[in-house]
Amino acid sequence: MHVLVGTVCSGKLFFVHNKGQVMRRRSLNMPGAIVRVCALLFLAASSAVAQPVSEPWDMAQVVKVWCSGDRDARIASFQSLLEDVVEADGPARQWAANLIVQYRDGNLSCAQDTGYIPAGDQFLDVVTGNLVEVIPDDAATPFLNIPLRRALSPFASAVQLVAAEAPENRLRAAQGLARTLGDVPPTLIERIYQQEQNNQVAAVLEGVLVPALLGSGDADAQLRAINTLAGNATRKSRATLDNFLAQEPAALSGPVRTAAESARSSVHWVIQVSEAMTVAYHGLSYGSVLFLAALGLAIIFGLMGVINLAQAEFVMLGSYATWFVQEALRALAPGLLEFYLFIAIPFAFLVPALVGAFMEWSIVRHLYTRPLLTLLATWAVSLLLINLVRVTVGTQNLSFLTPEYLKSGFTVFGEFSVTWSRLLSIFFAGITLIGTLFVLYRTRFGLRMRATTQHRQMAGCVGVSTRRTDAMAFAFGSGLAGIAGLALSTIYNVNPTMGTSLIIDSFIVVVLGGVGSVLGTALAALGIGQLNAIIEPLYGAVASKVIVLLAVILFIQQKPNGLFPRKGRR
Amino acid sequence: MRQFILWICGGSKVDRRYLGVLGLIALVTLGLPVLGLGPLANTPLGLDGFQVNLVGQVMAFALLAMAHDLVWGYAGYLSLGHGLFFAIGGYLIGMHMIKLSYAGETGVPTFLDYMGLTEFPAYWGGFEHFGYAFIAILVLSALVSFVIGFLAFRSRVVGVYFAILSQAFVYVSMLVMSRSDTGFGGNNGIADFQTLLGLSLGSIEFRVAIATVSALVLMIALIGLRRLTTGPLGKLLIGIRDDEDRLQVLGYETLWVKTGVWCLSAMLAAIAGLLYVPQIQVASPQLLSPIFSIEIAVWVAIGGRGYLYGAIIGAILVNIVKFWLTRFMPELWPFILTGSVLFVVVVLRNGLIDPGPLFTRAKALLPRRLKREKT
Amino acid sequence: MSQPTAIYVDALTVNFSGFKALNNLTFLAEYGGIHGVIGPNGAGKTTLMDVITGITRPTSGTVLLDRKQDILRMSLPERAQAGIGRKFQRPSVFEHLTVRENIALGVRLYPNSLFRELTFGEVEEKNDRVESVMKTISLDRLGDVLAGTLAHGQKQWLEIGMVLARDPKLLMLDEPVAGMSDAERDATADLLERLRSPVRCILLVEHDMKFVGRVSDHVSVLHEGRLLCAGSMDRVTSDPEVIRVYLGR
Repeated sequence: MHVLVGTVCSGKLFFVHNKGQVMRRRSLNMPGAIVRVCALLFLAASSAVAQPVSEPWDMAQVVKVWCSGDRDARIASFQSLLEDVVEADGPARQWAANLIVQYRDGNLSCAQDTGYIPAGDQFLDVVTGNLVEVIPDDAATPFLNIPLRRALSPFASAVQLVAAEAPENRLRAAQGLARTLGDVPPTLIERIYQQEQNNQVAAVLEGVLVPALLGSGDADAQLRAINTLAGNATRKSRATLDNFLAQEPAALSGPVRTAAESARSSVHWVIQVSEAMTVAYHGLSYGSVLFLAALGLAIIFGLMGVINLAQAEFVMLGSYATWFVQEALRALAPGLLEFYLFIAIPFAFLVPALVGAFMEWSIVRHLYTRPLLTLLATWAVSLLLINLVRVTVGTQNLSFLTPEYLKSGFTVFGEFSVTWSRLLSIFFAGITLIGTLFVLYRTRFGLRMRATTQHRQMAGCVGVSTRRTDAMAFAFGSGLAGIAGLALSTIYNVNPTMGTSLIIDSFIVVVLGGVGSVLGTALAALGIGQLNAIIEPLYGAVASKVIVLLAVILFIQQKPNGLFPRKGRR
Repeated sequence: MRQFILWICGGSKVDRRYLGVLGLIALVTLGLPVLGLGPLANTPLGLDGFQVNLVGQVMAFALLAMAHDLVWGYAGYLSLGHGLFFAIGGYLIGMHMIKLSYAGETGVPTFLDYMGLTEFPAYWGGFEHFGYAFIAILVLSALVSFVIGFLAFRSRVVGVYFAILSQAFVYVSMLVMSRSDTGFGGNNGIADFQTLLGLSLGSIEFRVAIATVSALVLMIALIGLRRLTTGPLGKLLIGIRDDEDRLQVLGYETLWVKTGVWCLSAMLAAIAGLLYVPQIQVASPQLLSPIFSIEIAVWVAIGGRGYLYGAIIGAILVNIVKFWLTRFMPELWPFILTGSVLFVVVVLRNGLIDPGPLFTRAKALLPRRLKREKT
Repeated sequence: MSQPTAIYVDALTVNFSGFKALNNLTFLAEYGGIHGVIGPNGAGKTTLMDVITGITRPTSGTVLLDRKQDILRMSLPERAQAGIGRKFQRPSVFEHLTVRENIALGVRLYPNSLFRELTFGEVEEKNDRVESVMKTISLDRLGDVLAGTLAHGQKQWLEIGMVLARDPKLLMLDEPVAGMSDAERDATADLLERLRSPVRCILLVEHDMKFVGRVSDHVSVLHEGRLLCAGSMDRVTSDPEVIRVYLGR
């Protein structure tokens, strides 16, 4: 069989390439496809016997029908051949697959109750299995008009589905069937489906099978299809069930209808739950980003009563620092490029921290008693940073490569899948939350910061250097913003003006969460992230901003000091 | 005569700086028609259309700055969203001018046509009359500011919170107006204005007229606000700024005072918008840009807040520098702006009006010998 | 002939996140005298005044003016209009206004209409009233001085004057002599005597026992948010509970 296939295939190739020399009717096929099919069939036939195999079908009969002009007979014969093939073993299957392909491509020559297919320089008599040098002169290739070819194609795919050993080929065959099922009986596909081991192929087959079974009119078949759909909770299956149920009531029998309805409601429930989970997940990831951006703001605001309008630009600096690290790694140590996100962490923290410390020393410390002027001054610095970056690096969006380990995700439930890149931002936020709480509550620096926040004068009296604390806290808050920039870089566009919408969102988070409260900021960020995730798909980004703003304003009416106000007397 | 001057100064003292600025504006009001339309027009001694237009725009900005100072310098609230009211005035007068362009015709401007409308929507009705538009501007700005102010002041939103919330408002408004389906031309805004009050917008007569009117309105507003703030209302505002609790326990409903002043400021800002848009001939979401609203505060900060005329000086200076720089060295403008803000805020503290801190610091740096010689 | 009780506080509780500043306090003060309110630090004296003026919202309880007006339903300015005046613990004057202007703010010719006050309020009547108040508080020669430049004691008097300008029926003074010299204390005691009136109730919160004993007719002692003891100064100072609480014996 191996040799047979090999000779057939090479003969075919030979045949195709020797244009002028062969007095055969040219067939309408593409050499490339032939090469592929042949090569694969060759590989597939590696363990096959070289002789005609024991075919569980009557070859002579098959050839007779194929050589006839009767369309219906031919189709019936394809069908029965397929049935036989499904029952047959490997070599027989491959033989059948090859046969059908040759027939489809017009390489079967009919003469004297038998057929010949090319085999190298010679020809193979398909009934007897003998090789002959030449074929009778009256041999003719049965004409396959286009409709018949179209009818034959699904059968060829189906046979290949059973015959091919490599999953990719079966997948291709299954996809071919998905495009046109033709007259291939669904029950046969079902048998093939049941034998199929590969998940991908099985999935495609399912897609073929289910509509076919549903449309077959056979209650049992329909029930089987419905069960399959019930186990596969996707929007597609729900749509299929909806279409099915939309038919005339008389067309569906009682038990079938009930089964379909219950399947539909369970699928629907799964989809709704997974949609809710997706929304929650998106809210969580956006909330993480907000939290990272707002945390530094909350700390600085709580500590010094200063709103740093340049905070968003520190986020931008963090993103740019990340980009520089990426470029540096690309040039100097390409092997480490995949991990640029983690290598960039200290840089994304330090660059804004240093800039923040400088800003505090040169400008902000002169303005502690005048918060409104500080607002304007920090705005001026933000403008400066935007323009400095603009004239040095440029206004274009920076490109960040998505590392392999961030590229995909996994499906958790129904239509809800978790993507790694979003998970990364949640991860960063979590680490930052824990880290900040640790710094604030477990280090001396944090203690000093809290003391200065709660009672500046008293802290100064007990020896806390409020100057140093302010400077370091400002740097700390700015560094946190840099981390936000790092987490953002793979998700959002990075350019000099990326901070503009972020600063307002961050501020709203701080106002909502209660000034100076880390947990408040976390909760507020989460809440606003969720609100945004719920509204945006329904009404758009602008509407969600408006609604969030209004909601926060209404909330502030009730609780003017936020979720976690500072306790104690006024 | 002295009585008149005292009346203008609004009180018992003659304030030279105030009179100086007032005189400057009066000069502009008189000079514009003379130099813009008279025989000197278009000569190096006179003004050409472009310069007239520039002066007019600056006058409108000065009015806007003064409106802002009323709230910041006197009531103590920093608004970073005054562009909202400016835009209300600008867009509504734009609606009026559009209606004028389409008077007697069927059909609608492109930005409405784009939405599939063949007629002006109902809320455009009445805008063909200037009086209606004017009243609508006052009413809408008062209404919007009332809602914002009442909500904010009632929940004691102060200081930085108020500032950022006002930014949020103007930012969100910009987002909404930038959408092309809001019915106001989206990002490009509304244009295609032709005439206003009978004069063609491009004509030199109109340019001079509107610039002169802007200067005149500025002058009247300055005198009016001066008298208001040197009177009992001014004392009340100072009281609110100094110790609002005390005032409330004394029996004053400070909520209404603050809201009233806020609404007055909003209406003045809207009038400034009304004067501005016909001079640039387009009403677009640029008016609602958050940066522009912050720039208004910057004008007041640089000029000096709490004086009214300080805001005017700040607005005039900064905008002249901006116009000049964006024409010749546009890249430099943001850096100059940043530098000026930082300089004024850190060094001067109270703006250009009060250069005291600069001199005290300079004095501290003078070498000892010189100082001793002074005594 | 007896006036209704000026201020009646019933079961007032104020809870600051777990800390009870006032704990089921019941308290009353009559017209016609000066009523001292004393107690150790943290007893709730200033909180009581905050609740009456409206700066702090109580968790529960009632406060009645004249035994009929539930003032907890009224806003701060409304309470002032009802006749409640208070001098704050730290001198709260308007530093950027003159003494005269400060007191003028206290005078309301049109208490119900701010608009009318602003448009028609600058009249001789107001000036007369301002002058008379300034005389009462002995600052009549400092009329045009900026309040911010006054000495601490003078600021206290000015604030009393501002509150007095409205002729309140309940005048609450929170530590009026804190930080004053002996001479100033004497002057303040004289001032309080001048302010005594049968239609006015003066509540005096003070730490200076001598001063309280000197001017008060009745004294209430607060401790940990409750009323510990009430009566004349002598009676209260000899009460064993009071002694224990103050002196720790």
